[in-house]
Amino acid sequence: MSGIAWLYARYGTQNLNTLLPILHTNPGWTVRSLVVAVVLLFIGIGGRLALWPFSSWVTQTVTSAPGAASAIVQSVWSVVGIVFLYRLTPIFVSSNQRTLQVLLGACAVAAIVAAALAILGNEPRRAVALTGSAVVAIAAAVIINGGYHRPAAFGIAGVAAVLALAPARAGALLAISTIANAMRTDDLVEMGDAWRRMRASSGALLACAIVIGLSACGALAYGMSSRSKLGVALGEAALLAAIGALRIYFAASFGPLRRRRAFDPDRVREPQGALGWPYWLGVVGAVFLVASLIPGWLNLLDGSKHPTPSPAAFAVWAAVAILGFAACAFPFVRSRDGALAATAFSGSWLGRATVMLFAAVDRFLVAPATDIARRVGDWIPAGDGALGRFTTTTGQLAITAARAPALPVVLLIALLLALVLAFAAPGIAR
Amino acid sequence: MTLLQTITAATPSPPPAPGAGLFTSPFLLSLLIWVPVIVAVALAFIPNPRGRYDVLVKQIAFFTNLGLVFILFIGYNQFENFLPTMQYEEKLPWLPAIGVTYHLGIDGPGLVMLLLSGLTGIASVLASLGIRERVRPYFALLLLAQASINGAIVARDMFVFLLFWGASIVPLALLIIGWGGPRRISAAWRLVGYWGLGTAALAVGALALYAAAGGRSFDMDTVLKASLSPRIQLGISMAMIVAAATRLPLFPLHGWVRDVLAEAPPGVVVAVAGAASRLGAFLLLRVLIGAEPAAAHLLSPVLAALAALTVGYAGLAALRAIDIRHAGAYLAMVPGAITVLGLAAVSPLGIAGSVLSLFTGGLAAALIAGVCATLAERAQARSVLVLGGLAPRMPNVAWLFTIAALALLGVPLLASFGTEVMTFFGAFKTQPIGAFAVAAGLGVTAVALAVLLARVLFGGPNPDAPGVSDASLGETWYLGLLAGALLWVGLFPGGPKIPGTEVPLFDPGLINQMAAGISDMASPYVLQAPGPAAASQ
Repeated sequence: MSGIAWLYARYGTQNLNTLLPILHTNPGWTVRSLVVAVVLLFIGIGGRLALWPFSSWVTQTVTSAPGAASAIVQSVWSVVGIVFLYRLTPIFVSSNQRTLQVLLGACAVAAIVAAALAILGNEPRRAVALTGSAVVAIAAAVIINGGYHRPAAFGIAGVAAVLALAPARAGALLAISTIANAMRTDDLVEMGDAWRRMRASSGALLACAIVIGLSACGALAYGMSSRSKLGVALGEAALLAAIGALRIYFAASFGPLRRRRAFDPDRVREPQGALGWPYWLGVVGAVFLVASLIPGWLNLLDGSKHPTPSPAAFAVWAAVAILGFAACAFPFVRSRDGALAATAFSGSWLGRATVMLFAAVDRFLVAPATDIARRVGDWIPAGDGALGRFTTTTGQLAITAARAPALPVVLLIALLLALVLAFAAPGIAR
Repeated sequence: MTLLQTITAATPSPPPAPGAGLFTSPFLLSLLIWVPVIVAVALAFIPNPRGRYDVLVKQIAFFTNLGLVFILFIGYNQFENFLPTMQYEEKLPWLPAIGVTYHLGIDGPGLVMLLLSGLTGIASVLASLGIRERVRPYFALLLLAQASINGAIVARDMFVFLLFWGASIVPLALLIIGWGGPRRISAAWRLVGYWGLGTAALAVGALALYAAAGGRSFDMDTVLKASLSPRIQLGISMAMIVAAATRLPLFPLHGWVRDVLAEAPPGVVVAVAGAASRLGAFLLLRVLIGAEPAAAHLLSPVLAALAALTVGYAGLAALRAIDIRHAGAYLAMVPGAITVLGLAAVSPLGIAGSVLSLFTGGLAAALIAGVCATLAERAQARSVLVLGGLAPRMPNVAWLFTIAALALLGVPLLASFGTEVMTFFGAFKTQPIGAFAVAAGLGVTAVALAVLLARVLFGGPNPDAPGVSDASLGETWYLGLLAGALLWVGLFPGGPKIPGTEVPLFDPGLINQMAAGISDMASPYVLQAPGPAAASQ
């Protein structure tokens, strides 16, 4: 809202149709004011898209919120946010080259870090959320890059990627929530054998994971050169996202489901209706995934003509995702327990680092600031209390003085004044 | 048409509401002041042996307030929003030797304040239904407090305004002393001290204004229209800012707010946090913005800084507060700062935002402070270290607490969203640093609210905590009334219309009605804004 208010204050309109033509012609416009607006808008959209580091609201709520609510939030808001970003791209592009480079760099970092964090740790819903966040960051980079290099030409491919991602992300969350509830655990190490015991949920999870892993391919093929530095960075993120998406399926679906305290593996069953929403969402995601590769779909979305990229471009980015799937499958085939132990170990270190980071933020930022507020909150009543006591005392003194006999008091004051004057006079001091 | 377009379109030339102006009364505003006074006096004198008629006393207080709201509703519906002048005016000579007249009247902002006062009046009576001791004097004092607040709102004479402004302190302080919590004496004295300081500052400002305007009349039509030199404007405005800062309150003159809102009974909390506090911003609007444009321009950065400091301080203090009522008290400071930011914008949109904020901010502050007080009473504990996981056990309070939090933050569908949009859109043009700082402070407030909600409502239940019960019917109604008003104005800022027509169903729309007089007030601050029209030339 600050970004919109900033633009409104400078241009007197919040209507994009009237705002965009006057971005560089309105009296008093400056690049600096556009940069401020763009940064504010990007932060706002980044928060809504849950781009790293604004992703903690998703990762920390996804484990405790109801699965359906979390699925809706993650899928719907990512679509809303990415469409908003796409519509504001002309404003982004009108700022300056340096700002766009910084934003593209931020998107790339967000994509890589989110995808890497998705591989660390064994909380499956958090992993789904972070994998989705990585793909959204890739799409955001494609949109900004598309507006920058070829004005608004391929940005829509980023929107198409998120349209494919959103249902798959929701389906994956619902499927893994069902599995986690049935197995009564949030730890991938303790899950297993879902392919045999909960085939429907496990199958839906597989479909959704594949769609998530592949969802960025179309956007990258349309809007990113695999030879650019940004392309390499986003490719790395896509690779990690593919690993992160599929490893949840492998961990939950294969390997032994061990007996634990108050948990009997034989009682794990597929709940009724498992062939419902997760499957349909996976199917919708797959349809949108296929559509995101077809120029006609992009033409339909933004109403302009898009040339088809070379088949090699599709092949390169699809190969990245498939390589990611293979890289995920290999350690799980070799040693599932070893792979999960490694992610658990790294996840525990990540958890410790996060705790230390938050402790540091609390110690060096939050605690001093709140302590100042607390001290001020205590000091002001103490101060006005002292003022009140002082007023009472002076009032009592005044009453006492009023009751005192006048003549002796006047004589005493005169004597005191005479002494003061005598000591202060020149001559005495010498 | 977007919400903002609706709002901005409504501000300069509101459409006349069909059916307005059919009814007029020569003493409508006097009724709002003197009916509660008469009923209060009657309550004070009716015999009530051993509390036999306690229920009757409560019913009388409730129906008095209901009647006042009914009168107010007629006044609101018949209000002619296309007139820039005062309406329902009453003018009688009182002390001609010094130029004091009994002059009452309201414009858009006054109407907004009266509506707030009416709603918080009913809410405070409903919140007080649980009072068991000394029922007669309690409700008599509550009615007197409301009468004095109404009087200050409708007064068009500085002397009368000063009288009502100062008079509101006495019943509220007595209510706190008589029915407050363990630290009630200290809280009451703090209220008297700070509000007394504000009254003294207001008296200084009013007398300076009187002298500078020729020393013949206290009538606002005279003193607020006198052309004063910027230096005199500055002096008077600084006194007014001190007076307003003690009421709203603004940092650093907020010393009363924690103790008063934490120790007073819920009914008094609603009255103080709702309408009584908003009088501070109303004063700034009337005197600083309405009459002293030179001083307003000079002091607007100071106002923006005060707003930013208040929001930041309130958020941080609420984040650290252990006592839930202290947290509620700090959070109730936030809407006042938003109002002041709108005034600091010294632009038509910002001023319109701050007028709407008088209503929404008063409701939001009363709601958050009231819900914290009710929760503490129902949970029999005030420490957030003890409270936990209350949502399943007190669902009504949990819902209302959540709405209060959302109202403070200005989320869409609630009236405070429109307020914040207008205020920030106005403020970013003229006070960008202040607006950024307030936005950052709102971020801290959001964190404080999230922590509070997570810990108290949605955290793990504490098995060692005392027994918990949900809000009673009266408590649910008073909180629901405040939340409902926020929702109603948020959903229908322009009022619901008969389908297919522009004829209002029964509510002409607060955003339309409040516009009367704003364009006049904001006319000195109209800038030649760069925009599409300017660009095309």
